[in-house]
Amino acid sequence: QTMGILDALFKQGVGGYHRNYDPRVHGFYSPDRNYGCTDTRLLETKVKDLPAWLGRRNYNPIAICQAIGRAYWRYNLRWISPKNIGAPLLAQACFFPMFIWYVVKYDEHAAEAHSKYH
Amino acid sequence: MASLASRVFLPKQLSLSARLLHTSRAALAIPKGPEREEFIDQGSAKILKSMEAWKEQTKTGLSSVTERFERLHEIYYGKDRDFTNYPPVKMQPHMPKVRLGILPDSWFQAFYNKTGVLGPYILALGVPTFLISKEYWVLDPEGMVLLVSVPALIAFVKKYGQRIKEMEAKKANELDESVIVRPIEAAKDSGRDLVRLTESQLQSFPIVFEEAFKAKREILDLQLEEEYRRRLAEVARTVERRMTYHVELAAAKKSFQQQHLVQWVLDGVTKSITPQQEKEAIQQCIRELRALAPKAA
Repeated sequence: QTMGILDALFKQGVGGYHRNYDPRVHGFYSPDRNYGCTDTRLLETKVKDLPAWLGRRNYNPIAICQAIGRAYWRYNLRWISPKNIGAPLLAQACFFPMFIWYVVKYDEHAAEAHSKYH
Repeated sequence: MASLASRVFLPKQLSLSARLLHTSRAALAIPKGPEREEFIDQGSAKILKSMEAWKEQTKTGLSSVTERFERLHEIYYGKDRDFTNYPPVKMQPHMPKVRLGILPDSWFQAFYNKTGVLGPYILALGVPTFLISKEYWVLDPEGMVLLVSVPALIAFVKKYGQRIKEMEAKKANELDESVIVRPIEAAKDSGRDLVRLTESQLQSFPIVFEEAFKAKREILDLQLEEEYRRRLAEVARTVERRMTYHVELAAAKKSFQQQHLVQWVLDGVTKSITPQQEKEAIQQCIRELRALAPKAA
C-alpha cells in the first residue's frame, strides 16, 4: 500500500502531540516542554557527565526542528503572550539580531582589524 | 363590509399604551360568569407547563457543564498526575523582571550564590574587554555602532519603558473589556430591562388588571373596617370609664355617711354613761362572778 507524505511524517512523530504525552500524567499541554525526554537538564548536569549526556541526545533533524519550535514557544509564553508587556521586548528584538549578524559576518570585520597579533 | 364592521376603530388621540390595552382586551375575550374560573385555570396551567419545560431545558444545559467539568477534573487532576515534574502552568500577567531594561533577572540570580551581586556586572565588563583585546570584536564602524547602541538601548528603555508599558496595558484592558466585561454587562442590563418590561406588560393584561383592581378594593375595605372597629373600642372604653367614675363616687359618698353615723352614735352613747351607772354595772359583774366561781371549781 502506498503511503502518503503526511502518513510517513506522522509515523516519525510529526503532527499532533508527542507519543508520550498523556494528560492524566502531564496535565495541560504546554508547547515549550519536551514530553519525550526524562533526562536531566543541561544546566544541572555535571561537567564530567557532559559527553555521556551529549551522546544520549536525539540528533534527528525532525527533533532539532522540534527543539527550535519549543525554544520559540518558551520565548513567546514568557515575553510576548502575557497581558502586560513593555519595552524590554523592543530592546531585545533590536539587540540580539545585531549581535547574531555581527557573529555571522565576522570574516568581513576581521579584515579591518588593527593588528595581526594579539 | 362584514370585515370592516368587525374592525376596531381607534382614535389617534389615544396614547400607544391605551391603544395596546384596547386591542389586547378585545383580543383576549375573558368570559364573565361561571366559565371565568375555568378559563383562568386553563391559562395558568398552560403558563405553568411552559415554565416547567424551560426549567428542564436549563437543567440539561447546566448538567452538561458540570459533567464536562467533572470529566476533565478527573483527567487533569487524577491519581496518575505528576505534580513534581509537570506542575500546573499558569499564564503570567506580566513580563519577567529585567535588569538594565534588557537582561532577565533570572540570569543574575543564577550567579548570586557563587559571585554575589556584582558577578554579572563584572562579567559584562570583562568579556567585552577580552573580546576587544583579542580583536574578536573589531572596532570598525559596525563594531562602534554595537558598542554605542547597547547603552543607547538601555537609555531608551529606561526613559520610555513606563510609558510604553502603560499604553500596552491600556490596550490589553480595552480588549479584555470589549470581549468579556461589556457583553456580560449588556446581557445583565438586557435581563433587567426584560424583567421590567414583562412586569409592566403583566399589569396591562386585562385579567391581571381586573383582579388587581378587586384586590386593591378589598385592601381598602379592610382598612376602613379596621378604623371602624378601633373607634368602636375607643367609645366603649370612654363610656365605661365615665360609668365607673359615677359608681365609685356614689359608693364613696355612701361609705363616708355610714362611717360618720356609726361614730356619732358611739360618741353619744359613751358620753351618756353617768358615774352612778358605771358603779352599779361593776357591782353586778362582781356578784355574777362570785355566783359562778363555785361552779368552775
